[in-house]
Amino acid sequence: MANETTPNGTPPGPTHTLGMGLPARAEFKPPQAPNLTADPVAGAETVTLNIDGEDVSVRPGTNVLEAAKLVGKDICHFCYHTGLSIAASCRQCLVQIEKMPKLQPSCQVAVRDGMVVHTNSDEVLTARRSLLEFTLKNHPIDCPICDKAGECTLQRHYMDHDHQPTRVDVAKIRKAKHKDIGREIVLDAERCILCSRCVRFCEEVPGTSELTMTFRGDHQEIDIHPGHRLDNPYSLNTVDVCPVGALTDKDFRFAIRTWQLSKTDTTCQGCGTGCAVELHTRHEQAYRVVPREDAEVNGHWMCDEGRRTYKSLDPSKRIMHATVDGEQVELQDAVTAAAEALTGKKVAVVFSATATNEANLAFAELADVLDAERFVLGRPMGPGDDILRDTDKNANSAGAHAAAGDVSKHEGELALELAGRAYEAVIILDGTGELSEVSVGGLRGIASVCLADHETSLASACKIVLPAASWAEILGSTTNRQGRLRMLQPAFRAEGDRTHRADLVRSLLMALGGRKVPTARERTAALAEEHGHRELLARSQQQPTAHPTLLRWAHTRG
Amino acid sequence: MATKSSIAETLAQTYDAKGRQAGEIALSPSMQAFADLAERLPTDEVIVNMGPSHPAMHGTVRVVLRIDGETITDADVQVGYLHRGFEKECESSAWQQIFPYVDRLNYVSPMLNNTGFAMAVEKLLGIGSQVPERAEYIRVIAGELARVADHLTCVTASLAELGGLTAFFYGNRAREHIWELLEDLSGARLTHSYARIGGVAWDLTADFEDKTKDKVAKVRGFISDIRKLVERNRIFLDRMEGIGAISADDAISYGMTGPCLRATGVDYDVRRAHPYSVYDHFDFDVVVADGGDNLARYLVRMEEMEQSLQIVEQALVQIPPGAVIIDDPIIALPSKREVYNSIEGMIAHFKLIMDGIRVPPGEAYAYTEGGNGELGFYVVSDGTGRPYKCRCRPPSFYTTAAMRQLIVGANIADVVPIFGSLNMIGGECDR
Repeated sequence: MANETTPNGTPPGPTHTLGMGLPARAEFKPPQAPNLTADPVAGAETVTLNIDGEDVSVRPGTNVLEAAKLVGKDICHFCYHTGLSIAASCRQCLVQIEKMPKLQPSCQVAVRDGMVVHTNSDEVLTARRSLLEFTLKNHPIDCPICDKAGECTLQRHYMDHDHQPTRVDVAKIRKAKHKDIGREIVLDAERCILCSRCVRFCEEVPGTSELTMTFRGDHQEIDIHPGHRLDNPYSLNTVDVCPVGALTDKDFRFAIRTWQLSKTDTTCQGCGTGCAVELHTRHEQAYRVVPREDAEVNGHWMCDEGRRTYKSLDPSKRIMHATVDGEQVELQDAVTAAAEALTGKKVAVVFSATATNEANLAFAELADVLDAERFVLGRPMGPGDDILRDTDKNANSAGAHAAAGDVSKHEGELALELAGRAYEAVIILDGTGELSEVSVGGLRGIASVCLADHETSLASACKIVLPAASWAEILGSTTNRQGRLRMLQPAFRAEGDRTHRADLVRSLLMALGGRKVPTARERTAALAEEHGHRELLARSQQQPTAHPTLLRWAHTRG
Repeated sequence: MATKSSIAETLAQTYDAKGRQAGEIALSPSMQAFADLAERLPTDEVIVNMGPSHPAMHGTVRVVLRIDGETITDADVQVGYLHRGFEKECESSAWQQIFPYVDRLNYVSPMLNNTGFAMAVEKLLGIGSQVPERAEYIRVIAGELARVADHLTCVTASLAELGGLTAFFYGNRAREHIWELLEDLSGARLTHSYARIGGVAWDLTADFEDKTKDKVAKVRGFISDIRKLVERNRIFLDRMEGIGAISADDAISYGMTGPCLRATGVDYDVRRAHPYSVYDHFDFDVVVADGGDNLARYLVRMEEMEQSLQIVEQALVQIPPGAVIIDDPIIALPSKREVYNSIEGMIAHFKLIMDGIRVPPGEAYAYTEGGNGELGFYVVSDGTGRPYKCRCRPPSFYTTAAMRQLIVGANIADVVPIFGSLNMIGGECDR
């Protein structure tokens, strides 16, 4: 990508002091939605119009469709999207506006003082039904095999506005059924209703314009430009904006039916941006990550890389029980063994940029008790850009460095020192971090303790492994690159002995003679209070913490 | 309750044929020695458990009896052994998915439950008056047949427990005829799930009318045979007459409805008092008996079966042609032809099954005459495809509540016919 930056090539100075080992980065700006919401801004001018007999004052410059949302009217539409430019191509949102001769697309008409709008007159209803009938004319009978079924906008609109039997007795027009158009995406051109949301997305957000409309009339379809593939790092957002199942995610294709999933509002763990996401799970298995709207951070979008972070939750790789020298032991025995192993030695304490604030704060207390050398370890740098992706692939670098305090040595030095047997003992907060093979080998000779949620080379090299709960099993927080506190919520209960890292460190501190060490939940509550994060504070005071919502009844998508 | 001093008196009455009183006769020396011994014996009240799995308790219910000899001095009737969380289960099921669950409430007459639940949802949807008349007639026919099956099961199982096994076999054969009819209609012998919101699943079979006429005659024959078998039988009358009696006032205060209430002389039948469906189109009697005892309950049920069969016959004559389910694509499933051949039908089918019928927010209570009395469904919708709350008023819960009063003072052996005639159905009572 053209606008990608390398860690070293970033021009302006840092906005946050994140400690050592982190390069200065460009100031992050959340993506701006082109369409204004209708909520009036306090103190600013408003425009008053009448929608279905109800007067409503809205912000000037917004459109009728947004204004109608304020009076609880969700005008049926396909092509309009708050985060994209207006095409007014689907004609589904036609409304009647007094003194205008014809029906008007409500998404495209700007609000004016004194405008009188009818969204449910006979004329409007007839137009709406006719257009839906027209849209359905060539739509394949795919619901039973379509990934979008259950969260499909077309299905919803048919049930809400059309519900008439077919009058068509001619064959449907056939188009490409499964066309591989990109790294992550398969196109089913038949299902496409030509709303052009995906075309506009590629033009406006990543700016890559891979998609276009080809042919005319009944034969019109979405396609990639010759010689190009839909390979931009944000391509999967086209699947989200697609109102039907025309664009499908290769990874999610035929994996599960959408209404069987439960959603949990949480934060992406893929990089320092910390996009607001929904984690979709069924029982203890995660199936996908989709973006959640957050105007302050990620707008409507997220990157493809972030969507794959759920793969680290693979149930077959989870560490369920504590091990000492490869032998499974009771958790408490392992904690005691770890406390003994760390006492009275020269210890290196390795904070983690991939673990939560709570865990890192508890770890800081441990470092004080052990009077140890501090390091911060994380995943290596990766590609970034000035849209959403951060070059720092750790969700909590800011939080980890804030907790660790003054870190005098770079993580590279840790590798060298471990390889050189500079320490008698080491404790690592997260087994996800990357170290060189030589330094991993250096762990074998010394007392090494690792808190790990899934099997990694680092975890398997350590003598004592404590089973930690993954980010999908805990209530906690991370701090993103803007310095915002981001919320993590449990999507399912931790199995086996898996425990919140902060609570594992707490047990360790207690074993070392600590008293009145706060629990993970108490730390979360304190952090939420400090940052004024009301939702997180409320969650930290609730029992139980897992509140996944079954998508079947939620009706939140599509 | 027999006191110690009366043992000699009891013995004397038992063994003296001339009707003389104690004191007037002398017991034989050995008999007198036995009476003396018995009076010196220490006696105590005993706690006996009947159920939850007792061969003569044909529901899963536990009755803890405090007995003095054969007499029950106190009882604790414990229900709940068949609790399956019906009401909670409904809250995570789409509206139409609940029909199989209501089948399992009173599993002896599932069609009556089907109708009751469908009516509650129809009331909430505001489509009560739009259900096609043919569908209402089919619901009445199937429901009244189910009522006959329900009463047959109750009555003849009770008779079997009193030793009249022949009557039980006759009853089962009669019920078999009814089940064959319901199987023709719905495809299932016991759990029909045949009603739908807005009508019924499909139309009557082509030969249903002829078959029903034939079977009704056969069922009548069996009922008359059963009556001839038992009604002049001394054992039957001794066990039924005056046993387990309850007054009308008490029955009402317990919330009893149905045959058990009508057996106390109260003329209350939901079909007549608050006519629903097409029950006002039929000529039938509300059967009432006096006494409130086992025999009265038996007689009410026997006569009600005849009334139900008459309703079925009238309905078969009156039934109009036409559709059997409401013509509204957001309530009724489209035909299979449309589902497989048009995207419109496919979407409608898909969304109705997956998201459920969108019932507007609100609450409704619909009540019908079930096999055991007033069967009510109180449903609350929050606008999604599933109930926010689905409460069932199970008639046998209220009749079972009165059981303690009925059995205290009776003999242990009376528990079985009293319990049988109250017709507690575990699936319904415990939900």
